Amino acid sequence: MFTQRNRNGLKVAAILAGSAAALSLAGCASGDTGDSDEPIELRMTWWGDDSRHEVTNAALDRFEELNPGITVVRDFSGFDGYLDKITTQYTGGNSPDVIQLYNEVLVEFASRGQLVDLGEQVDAGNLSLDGWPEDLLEVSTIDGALSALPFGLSTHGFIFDNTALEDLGVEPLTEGYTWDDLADFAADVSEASDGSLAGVTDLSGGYQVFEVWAKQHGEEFLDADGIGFSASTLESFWDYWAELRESGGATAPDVTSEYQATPYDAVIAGVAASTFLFTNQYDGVQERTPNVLSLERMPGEAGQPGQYLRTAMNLTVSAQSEHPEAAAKLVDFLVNNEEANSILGLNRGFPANANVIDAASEGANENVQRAIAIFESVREHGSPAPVPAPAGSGTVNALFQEVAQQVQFGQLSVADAVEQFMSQAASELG
Amino acid sequence: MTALTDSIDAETSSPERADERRGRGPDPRPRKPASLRRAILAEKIAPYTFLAPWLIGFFVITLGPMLVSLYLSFTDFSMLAPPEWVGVDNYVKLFTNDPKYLDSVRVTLIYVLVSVPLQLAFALLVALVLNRGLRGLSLYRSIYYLPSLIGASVAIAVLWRQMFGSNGLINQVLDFFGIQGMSWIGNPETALGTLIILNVWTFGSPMVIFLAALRQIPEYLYEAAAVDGISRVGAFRHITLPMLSPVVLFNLILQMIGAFQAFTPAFVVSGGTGGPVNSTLFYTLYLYQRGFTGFQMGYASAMAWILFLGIALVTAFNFWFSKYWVHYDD
Repeated sequence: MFTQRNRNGLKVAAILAGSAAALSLAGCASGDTGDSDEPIELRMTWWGDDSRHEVTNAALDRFEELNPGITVVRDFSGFDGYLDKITTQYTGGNSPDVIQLYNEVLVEFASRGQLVDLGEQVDAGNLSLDGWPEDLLEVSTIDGALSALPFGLSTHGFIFDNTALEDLGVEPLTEGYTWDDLADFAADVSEASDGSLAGVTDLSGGYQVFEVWAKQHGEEFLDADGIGFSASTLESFWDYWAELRESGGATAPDVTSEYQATPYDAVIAGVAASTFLFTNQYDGVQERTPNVLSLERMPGEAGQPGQYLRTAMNLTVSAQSEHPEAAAKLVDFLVNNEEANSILGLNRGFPANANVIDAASEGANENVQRAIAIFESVREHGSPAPVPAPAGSGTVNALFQEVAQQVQFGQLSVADAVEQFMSQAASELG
Repeated sequence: MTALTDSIDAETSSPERADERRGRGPDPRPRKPASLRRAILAEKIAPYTFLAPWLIGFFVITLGPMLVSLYLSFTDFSMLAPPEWVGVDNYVKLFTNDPKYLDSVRVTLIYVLVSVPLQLAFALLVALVLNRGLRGLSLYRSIYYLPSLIGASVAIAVLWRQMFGSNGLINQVLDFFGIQGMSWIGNPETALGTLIILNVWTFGSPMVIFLAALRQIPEYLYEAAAVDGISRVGAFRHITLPMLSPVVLFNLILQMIGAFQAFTPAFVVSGGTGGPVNSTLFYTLYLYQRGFTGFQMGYASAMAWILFLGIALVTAFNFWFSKYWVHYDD
């Protein structure tokens, strides 16, 4: 019996170690590093694919060459289990010094005082903000402290499988198309293919898609106070997709569910002719299929735009770090140094610092050039980035998907679903 | 072999060795009380020294963390800030204000109550077939045992996702017969079913235990029954099943405990969501979501303790109920 419990026991062991350390968290203060000649060891952690590991390691090697007193221990992995690892390390009092964090959980860490205020490091001269757009810095400011610097930006995009569309004799949609155009297009595709190819994946569960929809309606998905949209806006969004399911233009619920996490896989698998993705994913997705995919902005962007320069991931410095100054120097190198950015390229998205974009996008292939074009069009004609949502927003994102799915499978009417989502989301963010 | 015995002979016959052994042999003179006490003490300590690896493991890795998690279950603990005492709030919320939790309990109970009996029945069936003296038995045994080794792995769960997906192997076979398939893992009606099949497929370890137990049933029982003209079904009901019942109980308890704690298949097949529409939201998966993606480790600890108590109760019930159906030879 107890051997059966061992697996859980191990999980709890981490917590045991952690809780003891958590009590002493408050006692953690930054040590002195600045002038001493003692060698400093920093630990940096990130998630990603092999190519990201390769370029990041190369950039860190260069940093070590330029800063002989500092070595950087690298702790990298895939995305699965990444957050578990970081929180467990935090609880254990041995968090990495420099952490790549995704936007959705940034507030959870920052609001609990677990991240160094990078503004102080700017004042101390360890970090420069030259070339940084003011609004992006505002977005990274939580409780008055600059908690993170965006480490790669992207924006929403829509892909169309031109090869499949050509076979069916349906024209792909291009710049300036509306949501209604997308609905007609989807129905056409479904009709021309006798239902074997859906025009678009059902995106009613995608909170990132709804975010754009809400912004196009002059609202926000989440803002600093929580829910930033009216019930009628959500209802119009879910009604839209209900109609597409009815016309056969959108994927069936079981297929939607199968490709929920990565809708572009439905396009690669030849199940749907179009879907949404983020611009930094476009090149990789195109490489995985022989079909020609075109990249456009989201539907309905001609009027009030809903797309914005979205932080794909952040660089943060842990409040547990014993060497915040050296850590800030490393962050500075990674986000501001031209050489570093020419090594890192666009794997994480576009650099936020306008001064290093050219260095990073050098030698970009044609797909990446297209992604850059979309990104630049959003820079010129886009919506401001949303301010950080309160803690608990991760649960709300999951809830959005769940409730939408119940509508897809006909377990809830749109009206009931909207009511249920609004009340449950409010209680999660409460 | 000869070389080995030779060298031992050489060693024992060497004069120095012999002296040494004599020195260590039983001492004819009476010992001093102090050294005697020391010897007795050493004798008492010795077993614990040998047990130390297990004891340390039990207290440090199992019991200690369990007690800490018991404490945490009464707190609000985000992992990023010290825990705050909230009394029984977590437990109250679980049963009164968390419909998703009740969903996860329902899904897990269905999974346990359907997949474990199916798996045991299947294991017994295969064991009966293999027990009929096939040639190459050990090969078959290994082949059927394989899924047990790899069944809980991520690789197999990924494979399952492919097989039961909308473009998967199952649908291709169905398509061949002109049947319109669907995404078995994407449909709330069938997603849990695919996970149950996965569990049934890992019937190898109970099968091996059944097989060993079948071999233990004395042949003369069957011979005596055959003289009385018993049918094959009768022999199975009146001899095989009663003789196997202690092993059935053993397998039942082990597999139920395992099924209550199942995590990986649901995590991989549903992409960590427990979907579609919570249909594969295993208890441990929901616990994981609350603890690690929702930053609510106190709440997750409360869930873990209810699961622990639940499993303990079910196991106790199994032992109590076994007196009505388990037959012990002696």
